[in-house]
Amino acid sequence: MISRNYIKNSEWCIGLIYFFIVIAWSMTIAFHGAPDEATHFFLIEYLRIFESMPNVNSPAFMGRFSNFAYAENFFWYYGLPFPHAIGGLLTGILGEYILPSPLWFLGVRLFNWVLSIFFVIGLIRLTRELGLSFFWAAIFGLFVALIPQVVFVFSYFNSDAFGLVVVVWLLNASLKYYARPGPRSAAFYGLMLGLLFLAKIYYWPAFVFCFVMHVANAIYGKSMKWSESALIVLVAVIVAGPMLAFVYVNFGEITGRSGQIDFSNLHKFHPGTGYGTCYVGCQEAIFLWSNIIPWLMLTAKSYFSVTGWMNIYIDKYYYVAAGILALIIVGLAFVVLVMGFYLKIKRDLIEFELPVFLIFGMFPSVVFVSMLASQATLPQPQGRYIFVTVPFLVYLLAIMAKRISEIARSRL
Amino acid sequence: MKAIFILTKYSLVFVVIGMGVVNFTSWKENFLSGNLVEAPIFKIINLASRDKLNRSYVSNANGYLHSNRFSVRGDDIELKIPFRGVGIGHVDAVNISGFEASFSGWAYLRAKDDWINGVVIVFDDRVIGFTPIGRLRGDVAAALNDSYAANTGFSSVIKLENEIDKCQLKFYALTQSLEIWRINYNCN
Repeated sequence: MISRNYIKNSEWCIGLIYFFIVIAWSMTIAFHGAPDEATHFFLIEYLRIFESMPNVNSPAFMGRFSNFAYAENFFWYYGLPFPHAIGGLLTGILGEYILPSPLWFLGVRLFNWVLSIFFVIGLIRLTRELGLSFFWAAIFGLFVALIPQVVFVFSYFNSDAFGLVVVVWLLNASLKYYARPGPRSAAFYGLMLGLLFLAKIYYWPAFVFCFVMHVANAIYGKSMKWSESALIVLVAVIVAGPMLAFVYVNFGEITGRSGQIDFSNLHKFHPGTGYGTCYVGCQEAIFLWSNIIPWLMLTAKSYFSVTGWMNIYIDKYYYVAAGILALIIVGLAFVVLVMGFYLKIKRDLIEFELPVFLIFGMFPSVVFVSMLASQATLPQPQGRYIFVTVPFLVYLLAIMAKRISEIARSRL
Repeated sequence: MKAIFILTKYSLVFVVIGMGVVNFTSWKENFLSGNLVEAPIFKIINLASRDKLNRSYVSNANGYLHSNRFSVRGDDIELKIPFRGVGIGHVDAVNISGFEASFSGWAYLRAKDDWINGVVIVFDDRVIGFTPIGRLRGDVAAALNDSYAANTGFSSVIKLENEIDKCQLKFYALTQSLEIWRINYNCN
């Protein structure tokens, strides 16, 4: 039996190794050498220099951390909550004391580097919370965390790293709560729900999963107190409410929709952006496969590894291998699902069948919504827009492994 | 069944190692295809080497325009030129023949923001000549292992008003930021 302390230390060890992998990536990426880094920096730079919130239109200024020249009325992601910017601002100020000025932008990136530790530890704890040993938790956690695109997201400053970490810990919090209901676990669950409200909107599909699982647990699981459900909502409101209210008062929205429209207006006449590309409900066909297939291929590739400014690919054999691996996982999940029914092993719908259905439903749903967004604004077949599914990959692997071991045990 | 379990366990370890290899490949592609000059790793190396330069090289930043070096006397401005000590250089040859003197040597300042403009020749606390720096001295560059030291030579002939003793000559390097370094000179 491995002691709890040993596991905790090992988790932190893996977290630190992952942290250094992320730094190794970051050290080779120039400032703004990854998608929209300067745009993500804008709010931090503005807050640091002017010590006030910018308007939609802003003056020209030189960034303090990045030394980047921000033009007048520079486009930035307004109308969105900005917890990651506050984190980046704090680590950026810390960096000013430690680093020489040409490297101050690394201080801002430090926020995402630190998040990477919590991400990988969160993945390991998620698997353990689902009932697997530390070995399997580490294997599944590292398998997903080492997806090149995932490491890339943590290596430069953006809002996706925050979204990923929040989803991982939201799943952890929900499992903890259902396993050990109480005010503490309920408050933690509420905290993570609140933080998810502050993540980008394409991470919100995790709410659907949580809501369905909550209802299912309320019906089939351990008895839950209404007071605890109320506490979850209350904490979520306390965590997310002030910033959402602040953003709404300042910009009249919380989803960044008008910013996205501005962004596509800014770029739609540029040749090569493919503005107006139709995928669904087109004049030619309801599903225009000649456009859909390339979009899906690019999205799948960039879910795995398309780095730089979404223009650096690895050898095609790696993509083929990753595709085969993904098919094996999906195929195995179906086999396990069917075997579970066929062999009539003791079933707990909340533990396996329901999450599998939800996860299998989530993938096509978020892909479809992302495609519609591409059609409505600019075609952006990017895996990061469906990154909410990354923690669910670990979830799926863990419950599959658990169910396989149950089947094996029932046949022995 | 146990064998299958162990096989699965180890094959998954290999899958994770494989994922690490793919990660490294992707990192390498991203690194080599990106902006290498601006990559933080090279910025750090650059800064570290410049920091080393700063420590071993003399820095004259904020030197020559400092107000306490200037004083106004009527219509004139007096400038104090600080003496910095013995600099890197050598007077290789001094030949005096009647009322004519010829000199050659080299002088070099290891500073990133300052350089030597010329050599001031002093006899009996009086400036008797000035010669600019800039002659090619490949031997100096090779000896110092520093390509910036290649154009540090000087060579000049000056007219003398009186006969002088060559052992009483002093040679000073005058820098761009108006500072003075003495150049080694051995009259024997």
